[in-house]
Amino acid sequence: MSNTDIDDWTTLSAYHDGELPAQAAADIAARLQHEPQLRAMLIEIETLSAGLKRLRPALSGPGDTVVPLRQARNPVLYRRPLAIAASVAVAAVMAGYLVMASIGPGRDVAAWHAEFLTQGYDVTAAGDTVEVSATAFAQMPDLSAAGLALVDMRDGRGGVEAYHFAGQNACRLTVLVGPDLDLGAGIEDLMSRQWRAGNLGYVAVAARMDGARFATIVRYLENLTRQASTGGDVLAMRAANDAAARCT
Amino acid sequence: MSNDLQASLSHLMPEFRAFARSVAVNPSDFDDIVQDAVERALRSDGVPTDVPSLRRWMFRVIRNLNIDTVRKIRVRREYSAAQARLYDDMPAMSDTARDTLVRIAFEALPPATREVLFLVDIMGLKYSEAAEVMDVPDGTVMSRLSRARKVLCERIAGPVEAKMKQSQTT
Repeated sequence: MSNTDIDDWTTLSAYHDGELPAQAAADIAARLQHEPQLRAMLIEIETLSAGLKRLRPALSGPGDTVVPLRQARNPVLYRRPLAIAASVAVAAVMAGYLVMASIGPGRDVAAWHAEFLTQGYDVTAAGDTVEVSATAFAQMPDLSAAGLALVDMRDGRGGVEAYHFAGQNACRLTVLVGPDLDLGAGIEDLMSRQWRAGNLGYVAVAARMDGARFATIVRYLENLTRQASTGGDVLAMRAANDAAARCT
Repeated sequence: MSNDLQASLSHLMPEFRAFARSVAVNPSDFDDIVQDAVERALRSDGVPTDVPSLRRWMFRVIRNLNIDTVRKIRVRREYSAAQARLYDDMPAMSDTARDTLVRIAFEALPPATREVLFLVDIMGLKYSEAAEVMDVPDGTVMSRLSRARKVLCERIAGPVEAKMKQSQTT
């Protein structure tokens, strides 16, 4: 996007919100009559804004049952389980790193996956999940549309990074990233997909997962690493997840 | 405690929870933040009584409490929650693929980006009102909102630049 486009986008954004001074609004309105590109930008903003507007939460009505605010919870009792959960989570993370240190890196793909499978992960809201990003693989991809949450990540020898995702019904997926990955022989027994993007190699493995679901996930990851991911990939993951047979 | 204030807080509670979820770095903290904000409102003198002012006042308190929470975080992996469970206070997902994508993309944005979109696009606040909540100049709201919308557009349908080029050739 050129600087001019960025300026136009910002101006149109404010125009859409009715926040431009009168003269600036008149100027942009005049340009919109003759510039299809500008009109396309405005339509994009209007569509997006309308979609967001529909996310507005409904207010509680007079007839709704509302928990009296003073009695919503006992702060002490309410926080104690959270504190305990947080302590357990910290302990689990520390234990994870200790396990990593003790088992050592330098393993092949199947061994990484097998190691993760020996760990139990809590994928509930207060569980072991890790914050993810939808845009950059380096920040850990968001596979929530596929029903998977990132639950563990470890560093291996030679710059290898291992990510492990878990979902309901024991669904598990391991993704390795590194300049030179040791695929090993055990990968033949797993569902797998390997690819390269830039200077890095990637491999995703799973077992006993619905084939179509696995295919949409790896397609999304592959496109993400090549910066070619679109909303369609996310939608495809969600649809495949909805239609998938349970992990066994 | 004013019964009117309690009624107004209860009435607006879904918005407070949704805003807290939008700005919380740790989604599992949002309920604590909202409850702390409500308790602060009930203890404070001079809380606005009209609903629009009360809404903005509470948004500011929630925002500041969230900042306090973030400062306390020492272990990054201590927190976070399944992204798919976000926003259960929001209306049911639309049948259209577009709305589905908007929701997914919005939920995946960083909290700082979600904040301005929540205030202006979802809640319909004017720039000056959002600026008051975010404690920034109006112009900052304008630029943050522009960037946030661009990021969201790109997450939904690919780079805006590509679409602009496409529209030029058709």
